[in-house]
Amino acid sequence: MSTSVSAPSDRSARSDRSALSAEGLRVAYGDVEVVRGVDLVVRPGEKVGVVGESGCGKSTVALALMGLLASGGAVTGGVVSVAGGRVDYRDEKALDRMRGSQLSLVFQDPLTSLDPVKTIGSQIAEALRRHNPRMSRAAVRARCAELLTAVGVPEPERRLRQYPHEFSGGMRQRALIAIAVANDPAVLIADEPTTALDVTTQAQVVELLDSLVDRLGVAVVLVTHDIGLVSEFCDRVMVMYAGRVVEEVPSAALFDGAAHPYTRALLGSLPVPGRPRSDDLTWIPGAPPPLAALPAGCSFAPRCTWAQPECSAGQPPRVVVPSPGTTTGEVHVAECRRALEVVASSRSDESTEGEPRG
Amino acid sequence: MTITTTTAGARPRRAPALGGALKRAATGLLGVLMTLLLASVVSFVVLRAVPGDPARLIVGPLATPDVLAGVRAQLGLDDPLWLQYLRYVRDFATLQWGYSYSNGADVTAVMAARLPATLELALWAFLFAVVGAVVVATLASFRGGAFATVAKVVSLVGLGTPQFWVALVLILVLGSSGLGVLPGPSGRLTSFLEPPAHVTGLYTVDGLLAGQPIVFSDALAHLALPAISLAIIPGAFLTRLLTANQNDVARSPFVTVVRSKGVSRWAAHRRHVLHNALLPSVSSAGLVLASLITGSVLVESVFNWPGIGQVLVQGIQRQDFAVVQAFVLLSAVLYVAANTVADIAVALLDPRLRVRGGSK
Repeated sequence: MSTSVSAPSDRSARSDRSALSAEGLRVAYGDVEVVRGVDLVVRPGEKVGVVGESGCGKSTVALALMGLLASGGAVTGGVVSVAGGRVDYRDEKALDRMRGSQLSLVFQDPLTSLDPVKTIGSQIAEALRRHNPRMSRAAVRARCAELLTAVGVPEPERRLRQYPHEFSGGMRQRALIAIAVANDPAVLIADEPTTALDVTTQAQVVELLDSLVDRLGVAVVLVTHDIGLVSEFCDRVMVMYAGRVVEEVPSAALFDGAAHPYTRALLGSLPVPGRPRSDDLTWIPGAPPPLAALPAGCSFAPRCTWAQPECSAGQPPRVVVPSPGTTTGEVHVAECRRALEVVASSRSDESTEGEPRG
Repeated sequence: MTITTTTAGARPRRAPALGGALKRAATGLLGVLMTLLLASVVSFVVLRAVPGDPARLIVGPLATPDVLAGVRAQLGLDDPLWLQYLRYVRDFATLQWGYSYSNGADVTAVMAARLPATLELALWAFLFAVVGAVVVATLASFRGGAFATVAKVVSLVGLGTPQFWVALVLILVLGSSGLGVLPGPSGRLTSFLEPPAHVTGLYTVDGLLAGQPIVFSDALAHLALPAISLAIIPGAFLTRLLTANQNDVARSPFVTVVRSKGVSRWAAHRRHVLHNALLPSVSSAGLVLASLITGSVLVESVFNWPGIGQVLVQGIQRQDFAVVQAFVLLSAVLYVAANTVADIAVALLDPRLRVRGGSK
């Protein structure tokens, strides 16, 4: 990509600080708590994945961080800071200033994420003008073209005048990414950015996100149900279940060292090409519990093959897992009383599975 | 339709789009012709099926059979029906709408003299209905809550309110017999004022063109009550339609994306939700305008408004075929025209339907 999108020079200066941090984030829709105390720290330029089944609260976390929960939803607890400043979710004006400039969003379905009756150019320009009201018309146009080029849309001048229906799905997602990075945000939250795309386009979009991290130093929070995608793309993975992060693990340690039975089950349901399995993919029996009526103790216990009577008795402890594949400073924490046993068993599994088969 | 010819730089994939537009235009034209044909047949048949002999009405009950036969022959009532029908279509197309014995003048002349009054009333009513509906629906959709509930109930009541009743209440409360704020049923102008020089036939427009603000304000004052009475039902209809459309659009993912750029909720609503919600309402608005032009009969009667509605009432009462036929077909033409214009407007306004020509 020849066009350079300049990264702000102060990015390195605040590299010791987190680009985004959430402590004890809680979100409720009416009386139902759907996010129950999530901690999330994203350092500048870091790629963090949030995975889980549908309904585990991962998209809610994304929207809650943006302050864009659907009506009825509200952040009920926790402290969120973006680029060092604490976010007040009751101050709509401050939120509007933050959205798009410090924290931006790439949304699930590119086909419905663009206004069908406005040109692509005007939709990118809207993001620029909102945060740079004095920018001249010509400068906005030039920057729009530059952004489209940066996200790999050819013939930007012509494309800017086109409408969303003249763009393919992958091109629309690129345009949405251009909108998201228009103001050099500190963090980009990508909520299932590839789910609605076909496989080859998925790979291109992931590659684009990767290159933007390198070029802009933007941090990415990738929300997805695709644990394979997360393991390839992200530095760190947060596994969510029933509104909580049940395991936080460096990607390098994910396959070999996952310590939560739920994470292991997710990995077991992932087809891995070139690694034949003796039997079919495993699957997780049952469905996530209704958030309005969570079981006591560990919410995964009813579906867990490792469950013991004590698991249903009280909140499971946070167990720090020593992982050989991680560098210092990286945390690997699992919310499971048998985490260490799970890791040990998975490592022995790996060693037998790794052996050549007849 | 803006079908500009493509230049050398055009892409071949645009060709099917152009073909599609032509096909759409041809289908539309066919639909228009079929509608008009059907309307003309219906109005022709219905008027000949109703009891009563127009020739007898003209000559009176004491005329001799010879005279009656003479008038029948003169009116062409002895000819076979298909011939009468063809003659009727030809005459309508050439603006020879026959002689109205109840008015003692050609129907074309009567209509031409009366149409501006009805048009002016309908246009103002349309303006009131559209502006009112857009304002109320936007506020209802944006604010929600109690305002939306009240707007919903009021528009439901508005939809079911009889026009003549509203008209009478307005006259009694605001008109000459009540608060006296606005003139009552006294036509288009106060009697001592001369109508402005004829340009469009619309007194408000002509008054402004002639530089007579007094005529303009007086004409508007006379218009206000009948136009409001006329605007209530279509206004309520458009309010409900626009509120529903905006609520639907507001839930679209793209609105969340717009918000994620830092655009405030109101700006996102105004720029994106309203725009998307208005587009599908344009065709409904076309039909509303047509119904306002042809549907002012009751209001014209209550307000003594000298428009075509009054002519129609007289025509029906006196079995004046020519007038009723002309009115029915004119209504059909108006409906079809309004519909077509609205369709073209939507095609021009909606980029998904717009035919784009050359690449530059």
